[in-house]
Amino acid sequence: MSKRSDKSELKSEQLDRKRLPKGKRCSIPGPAISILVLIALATLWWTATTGLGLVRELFFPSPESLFQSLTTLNIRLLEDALATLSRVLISWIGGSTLGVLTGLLMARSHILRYALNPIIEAVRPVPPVALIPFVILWFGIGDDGKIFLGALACFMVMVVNTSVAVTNVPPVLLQAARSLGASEGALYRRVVFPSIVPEILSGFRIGSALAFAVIVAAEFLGADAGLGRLIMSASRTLNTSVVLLGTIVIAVMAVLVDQIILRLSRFLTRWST
Amino acid sequence: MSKVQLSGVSKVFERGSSRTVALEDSSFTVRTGETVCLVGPSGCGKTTILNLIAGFTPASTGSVQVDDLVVTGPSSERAVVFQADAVFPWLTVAKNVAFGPSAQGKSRDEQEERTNRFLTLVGLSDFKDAFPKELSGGMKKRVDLARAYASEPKVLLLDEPFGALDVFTKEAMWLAFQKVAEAEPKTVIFVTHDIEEAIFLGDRVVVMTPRPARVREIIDVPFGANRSIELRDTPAFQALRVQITLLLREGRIE
Repeated sequence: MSKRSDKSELKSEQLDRKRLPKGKRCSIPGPAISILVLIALATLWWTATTGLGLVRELFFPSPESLFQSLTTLNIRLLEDALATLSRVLISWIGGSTLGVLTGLLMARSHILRYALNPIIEAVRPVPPVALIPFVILWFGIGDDGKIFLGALACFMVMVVNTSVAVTNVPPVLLQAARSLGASEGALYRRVVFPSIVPEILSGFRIGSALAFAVIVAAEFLGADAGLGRLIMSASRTLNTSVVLLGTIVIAVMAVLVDQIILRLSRFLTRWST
Repeated sequence: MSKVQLSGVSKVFERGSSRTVALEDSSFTVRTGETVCLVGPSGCGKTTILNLIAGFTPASTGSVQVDDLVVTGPSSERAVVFQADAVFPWLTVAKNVAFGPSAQGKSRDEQEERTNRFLTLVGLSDFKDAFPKELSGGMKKRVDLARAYASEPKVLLLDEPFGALDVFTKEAMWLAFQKVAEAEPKTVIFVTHDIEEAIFLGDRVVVMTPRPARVREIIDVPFGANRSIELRDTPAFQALRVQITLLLREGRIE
C-alpha cells in the first residue's frame, strides 16, 4: 500500500505549516475557506434547481424534493443506514483485526510468509466486487456475504500494511529491547506493535473507505435492507431524489467514521514526528 | 559487576564467495568495575567486538566470556547504548528508562525508584513526561544512558554513543557519563573513534589496528577518577593522545 502518501495525508496540516514558503500562505483561515466553498455550492445547487429551474428534477433533484424524500422515508432511511453501517463496522473491524494478526504472524514465521504470500498477492489486485456472484452463491443475499466481502477488502490492506511496517521497524530498537531484557513475546508486544501503530491506523483509514464502497456495491446486487438496496430500488423507478439522499447519507457516515479514526490516530501517534 | 574476557576471538563475514575478516585473533580482559575504551579508525571492526560481547552475533573462533560464562546471546546482563537513536519514540522519557526493569518483571515501586534515580543522575528529571521527539540529540543520549543503567546490567557496552554530537554537547556528555559511572560503578566497554574521548573516559585504552582488526596495544590511563574537562588541555593528556595517534597511524593502509 502507498504508506507514504497516507502518512502525508494524515499530516497535511503540519506539512502545510512547515514546508510552504511564507509568501504563499493565504491570510484567510483554512476552515473558513472550506465553509465558504460549501455555502457557495449549496447556493449554486438551490439556484440551479428550485431558484431558476435550470436543471430538471430527474437529472439533479432540488433541496426541497430531497427534504420531501427524507420525510417520506423517515424511519426506513434510518433502518437502511443502520443496516449498511453495521455491516461496514463489523467487516471493517473484523477484517482489519485479522489482517493485522496475519501480517504479524507472516513477519514472524518464514513458513507462513511463503505459504500465504502468493495467495495474498493473487487475490489482492482483484476488486472484491468481482467476487459478488460467488459470494451470493455461497452465502445467499443476507448479511454474511456482504460482511465477508468488506472484511476481505480490509484484510488485504491490513496484511500488506502490517507486514511491510514490521520489516521497517529499526533493528536498533529491537537490539536495544533485547539487551534490556525483553523476551521474544515482550519484543512484539512492547516494541514491534507500538512502532507499527501509525501504519496500522493509516491502513484502518483506507479500509473504512473500502468497506463502505464494497458493502454498498454488494447491496446493489441484492439485499433485504441497506442504503445500496434503497438506491438501487429507487433508481428503478427513476426516483433520483432518493438516490441522491442515499448517496449523501453514505457520504456523511463515511466522513464521520473517517474523522473518528483521524482524531484517534492523532492522539495515538502524538509521539510521532 | 563482572569481568569480561575475549580469548582468541575472530569474526569472519561470508557473503557468497567473498570473505571479510572483521576481527582477527583478539584477546583482552576487562577487569571488574573498569572502563575500557576501544579506539580505532571507523570501520575497523570495533562495533563487531561490541556485537560479539552483546551476543547479537556469534564469534567465528575463540570465545567471549562474562564471569567465566560463555556469551551465547543477548541478555539484560549486558546493556548496550548505540550510536543510532535507540530511544523508543512512543514512550515518554520515564517509560523509556523504566523499560528494562519493567521487561525484567520488577515491581512498580522498584521501576519508579530506578527511573527517578537515573533520570536525576543524567539531569533529566524535569523531562519525565516528555516524548523523545521533544528532546535534543544530547538529551536523547542521556535517556539512552539512564535506560541502560536502569536495567542494572553487569556490563555496559557503549558503541560510539556520542559520535553524532557536536563537540560541546560531547564534553557535557563525558561529564554526565563520568558522574553516572562514579555513582553506579559498572564494568564498561566503550567503543569510539575519538582518541580524546577514549583517554578522558577510560581507565585503559585498547588501540585497534584496521582491517582486519587486531589489538595493537593496551594503554593505561593514569589520570584517576573525577576528571575535569580541563584535563584535556594538559601536556600529559596531549602526550597520550599523540602516542595513541601514532599507534593508529602505523597501521594505516596508505
